[in-house]
Amino acid sequence: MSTSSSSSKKIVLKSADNETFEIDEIVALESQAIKNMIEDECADNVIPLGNIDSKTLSKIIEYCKKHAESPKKDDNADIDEKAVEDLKSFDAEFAKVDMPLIQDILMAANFLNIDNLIGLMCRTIADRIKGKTPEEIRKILNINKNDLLSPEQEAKAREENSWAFD
Amino acid sequence: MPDDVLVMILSLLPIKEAVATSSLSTTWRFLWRNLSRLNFDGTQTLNKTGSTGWTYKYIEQVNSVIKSYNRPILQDFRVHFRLKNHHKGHIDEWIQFVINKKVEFLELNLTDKDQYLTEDLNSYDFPLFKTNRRPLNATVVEILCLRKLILKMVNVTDSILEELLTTCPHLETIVIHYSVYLEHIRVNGRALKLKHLEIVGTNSLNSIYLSDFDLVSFTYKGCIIDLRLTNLPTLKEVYLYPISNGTPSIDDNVFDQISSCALSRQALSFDFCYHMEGLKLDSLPELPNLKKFRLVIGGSKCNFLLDLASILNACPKLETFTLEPFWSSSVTNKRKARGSVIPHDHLKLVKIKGFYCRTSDFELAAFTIRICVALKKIVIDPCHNQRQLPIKTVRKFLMNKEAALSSAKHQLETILPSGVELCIL
Repeated sequence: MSTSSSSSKKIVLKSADNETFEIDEIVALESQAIKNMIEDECADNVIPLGNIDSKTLSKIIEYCKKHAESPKKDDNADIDEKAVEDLKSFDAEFAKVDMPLIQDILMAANFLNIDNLIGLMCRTIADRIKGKTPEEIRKILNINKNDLLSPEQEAKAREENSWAFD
Repeated sequence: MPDDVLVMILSLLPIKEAVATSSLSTTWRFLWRNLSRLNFDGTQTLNKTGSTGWTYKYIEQVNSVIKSYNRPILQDFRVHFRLKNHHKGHIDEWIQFVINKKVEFLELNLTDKDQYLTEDLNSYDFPLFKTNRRPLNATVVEILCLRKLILKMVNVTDSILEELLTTCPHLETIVIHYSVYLEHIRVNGRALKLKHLEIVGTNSLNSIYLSDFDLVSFTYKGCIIDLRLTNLPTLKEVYLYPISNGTPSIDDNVFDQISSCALSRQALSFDFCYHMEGLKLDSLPELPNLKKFRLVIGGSKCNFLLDLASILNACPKLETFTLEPFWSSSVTNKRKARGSVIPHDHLKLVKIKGFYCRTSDFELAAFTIRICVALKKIVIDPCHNQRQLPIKTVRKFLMNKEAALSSAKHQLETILPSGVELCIL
């Protein structure tokens, strides 16, 4: 189990709005993209993340910290049921944010290649649109008005797969 | 958002809702056709099965999706609906479709909602290969990319299974439930990639012989059969749910079956469930490799502690023991059990699932604490599998759950040696 000791290596991330975050390397390694950068030794002391704002980045760091701390699923080690439960409830709490932030986190997690977080955000969005009407889904996802289908196109879409619209 | 992320979200929706997103906007219009996994889970409408209308609708769904699906490769194709052999024309076409799409995971779950049905001669016959005694429609099935195959309430013959194993070189997982034509399952040979095999048998099944390949896990549920597991060096997990066919006879060889697993060199995890009384537990062969054991055990005439004593004696290297007792009477032969057991010096973790603070539960916990001298942790899980118990017992327990658990904690702590952790979930 890793606690932040002064000896562990630090990584600095810089958000689009120029805020810097100093984190333990082990936390940063949750991101496959950063991991690759570090392994290829092309990471400078400060990693600029020009497309992620500080609000989103701090949420992502919160997530990575928690996940870096919890014991990894080893094939041999007995998985601690309590730790699994703990992580589950952390994830559930973590996802209780508004849709714009969820979408920002998802985009950033996709960029940083953090598989678990991509999965969590996708599940959260899927859960929120499940069982909703197209009109409700457009609202939830804030779909651009210019992107809507024309009435004829929409009728055709419905006709093609009429069974899905009962 | 990039399309691949949107498709990921789509893949988490029921297929009907995923397809319905085609009316959302121009971005979403054809997005669903990029789904690499098609899961036609008809369980929502399954209670309406029987009405031909719903069956027809379900088949139409699948046909319609297949018609407009234009990706060259499909990863998963899963069907769950009660369909029978008179729907064979459609299902055969689906199989042809997934073969063309180089599917990796094929599931045909044609069971009822309640899965109680065990066998049905009208089940769908899996399309067959070159040699078969039943002259079925001869779709040539060569599923080269197939890694995982689940067939429930689908009839597969011995020779079809054999063909599948030879024509699907990447097949790693096979699950077959309730195939009335399976009689003798023979799987052997170094070339096989098969790692996981699960069979739920019907009365027609007589024997399963597995030998000389790198099987990792094996599950069998059904009547007691001639089971031989030989030279399976990587076998790690065995799950056996033997059901005695009628009254258990003296020769029921459940534990002979286990002993053949004991030859495995690997650390074995063993999952064993028996609901019948009268199976011979005292003749348990020694299982020197066994490190993990999950035992579901119980009944009304309960010699459970005696059985437990002989199991612990037979498994000297056991480290993790998960017990799921369900009993309807109190434990007998306590003293005899205590007398017949050798102190166990490897067992480190004991989990008792379905601990309802009954006297028997305490006796079980106390017994294990007393004889397991190397014990490090005991986990008590009171919320496990309440369905197996009489409603009255569960209700009584749930009403006083907090008080019961705190008193359980108190009682167990008084007998717990120092250094042993007690964990109540």
